Amino acid sequence: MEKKGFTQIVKRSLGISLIGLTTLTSCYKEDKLNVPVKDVSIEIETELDQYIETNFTQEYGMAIRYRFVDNYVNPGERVAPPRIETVRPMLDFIEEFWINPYLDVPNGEDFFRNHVPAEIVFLGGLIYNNDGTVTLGTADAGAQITFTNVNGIDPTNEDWRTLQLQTVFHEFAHTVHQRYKLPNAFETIASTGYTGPGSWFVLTDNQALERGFVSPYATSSPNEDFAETVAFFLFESDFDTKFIAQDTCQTEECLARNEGRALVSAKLTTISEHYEKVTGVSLESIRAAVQNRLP
Amino acid sequence: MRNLPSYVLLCFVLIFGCEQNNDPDLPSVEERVSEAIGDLQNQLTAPANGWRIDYRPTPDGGTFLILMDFSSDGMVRIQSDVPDNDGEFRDQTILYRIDNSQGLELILETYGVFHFLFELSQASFGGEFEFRFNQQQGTNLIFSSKSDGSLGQNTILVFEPAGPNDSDLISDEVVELLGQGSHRSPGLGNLGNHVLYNIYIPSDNTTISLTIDMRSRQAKIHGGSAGQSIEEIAQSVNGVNINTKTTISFLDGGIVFNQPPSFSIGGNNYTLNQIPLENFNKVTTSYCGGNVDSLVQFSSQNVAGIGGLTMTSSLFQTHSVVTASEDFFSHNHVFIFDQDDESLADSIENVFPGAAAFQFYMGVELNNGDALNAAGFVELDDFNNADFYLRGFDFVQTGNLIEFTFNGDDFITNDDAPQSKTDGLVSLTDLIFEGGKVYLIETIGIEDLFEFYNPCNDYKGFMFKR
Repeated sequence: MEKKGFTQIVKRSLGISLIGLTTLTSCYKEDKLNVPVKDVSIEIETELDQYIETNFTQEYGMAIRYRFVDNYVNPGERVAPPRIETVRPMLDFIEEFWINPYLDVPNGEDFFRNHVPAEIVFLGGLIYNNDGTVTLGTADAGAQITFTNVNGIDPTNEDWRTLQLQTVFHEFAHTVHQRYKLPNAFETIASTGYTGPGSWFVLTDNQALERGFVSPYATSSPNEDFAETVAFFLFESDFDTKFIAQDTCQTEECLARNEGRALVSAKLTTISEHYEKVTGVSLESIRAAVQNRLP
Repeated sequence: MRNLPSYVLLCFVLIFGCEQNNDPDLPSVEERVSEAIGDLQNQLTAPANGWRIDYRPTPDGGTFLILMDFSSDGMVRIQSDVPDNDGEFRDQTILYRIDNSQGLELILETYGVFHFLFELSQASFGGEFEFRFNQQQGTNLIFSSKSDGSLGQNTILVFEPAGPNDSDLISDEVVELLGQGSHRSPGLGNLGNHVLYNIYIPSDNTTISLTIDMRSRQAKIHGGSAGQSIEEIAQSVNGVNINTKTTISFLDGGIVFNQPPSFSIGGNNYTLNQIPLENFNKVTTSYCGGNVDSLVQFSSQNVAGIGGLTMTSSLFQTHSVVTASEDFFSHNHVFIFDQDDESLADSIENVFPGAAAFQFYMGVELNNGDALNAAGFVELDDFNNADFYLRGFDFVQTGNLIEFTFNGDDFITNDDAPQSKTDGLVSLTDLIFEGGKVYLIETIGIEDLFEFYNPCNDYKGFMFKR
């Protein structure tokens, strides 16, 4: 009986499909199904749009999306677009703190132009999820980087600045291992410390450091470890104090942190050598260029 | 197989049906979509004064007055009566577009008042900024929300052609002034912006208490009484517990009660339809020991069916749902704050390292028939066993004002409670309840959540009725 039922379902499906196919193909030969959702005819050319076109799209091949499109976020994620007044200051911010440091260092411009993501998305606030959590920043396989909380723009505010720089340097770092692989044996340096995508968030910052990682999220996979380490190294002014320099210890916790720092140091050395070898760019030079710009 | 001929026949019908109607001049889908978008844009830009939307993001909440004037260049000017962000939303111009996805959609592309309402309460308030075009009804355009924070309750928006003077109806200044009547610190404002007012009708010597949630635009009429001062109201025998909610709107400089509450106090009948909020003033009073408290006051001379009245912000309401009962109040101890809105959690945990809750009992009957009136803390040990550290008090209640006196040696604790903890209990409760007065203020948007406020030292906190 089950087999017969299944056959009937298939037949009915075939019949419906045949009808549907006939309907679609027989009436309007010229019709296209990929009609653009967005009507380009009302896409205005403001001064801001022209600035973006000249300075980002034509200059770097990088599209800047500041007008809301709901497929920039996943279903169930709730977020608002940016104020139009914040877009130009945000462009200035990413130019100053992300693009220009690469342009300042040897081979940096070539590297940047050849690896720049195709799409940058600005979102006004944080992303609220149905489960009550908040997403701070997202990226899509190096092709898209999404900046959240653009409406809160204040480059002098360390928390806001850190959110944006951590996002962009982390996501941009992914392009390196995606294109050139991770440094040889990178994942073996702190191999016992990795957690997983579903459990990294139970760690505190100190617990992550004791395992040899710059953040709990870095423990989620070697790829994220690579991206987090590069990002923290570039934007974190106190990177050496927090993650490299050995403390004088009198407690077990302190000794554990020192052991973790030694692992971070070993990973950073490997990353730095690999980065320069495959990109021709000195990570230390980019860090210096970033740090010189911080208030 | 016996159905196959039927399918073949149906296919022929469809094919020939299409062929018969196939107009070689019929535009492509692309052209028809473009035409539909253009048509809607023409409709949106047509009215001389733009559109008026009486916007209700949620069915439980009140109305926001919004005017939208669309231009063909993708810009829309939006005026609203939302006074937040220093008046940013009174009059602003943002970008819009019309999409064709599952039908025509109106997308407000950059941040404005709709997005502000969308983001409230961690984007769960119920606002929206993407709308599906449903239909034209007469001269109106009907839209529905594409996504909605209030789950399963898509909002219907009616765009009506605005009148030439509709912008005069926008009452953002009055909304802003009314909101100044809040005693809640902005730092604690995530629970909404509640303001408590007393309406005094001099011709009848009657006071009516109401709370307004400025964010959701709901009002609750608590009760009414003869008299004006707390002392007069305490002695009045004409008090009436009204306990009625209504949604509200702000129009033309006044507050409109969308479901006008009707009630009787002292033989006089009242219906609250609309109160003009005129003659704004700041006045002072003292809620404790000569402290000067600033109040907001409006006065109107010609309120329909009432005559003259004043409406003054207050901590006091004539009636409260809080009464001495089996209910008690409890909440995590971190939600007690000092005069600077800093949590007392550290001070409490210094005395009670396992502190889990602050509790307040008022008239709870014990097994021996005595009433328990006490306030204090609950501490959990490593095995989640609860230890209670409560301090007894006597109290007098008038409306939502609780005046009490701690009893010197009345402690409800474990027999082996260390002296350091009872001493700590005394010092903490002396601090929190300094002056012996608290007002229990209902947060009408969240059921059973109350704020307690001590006017003597500006300490405050939140408690759920259990």
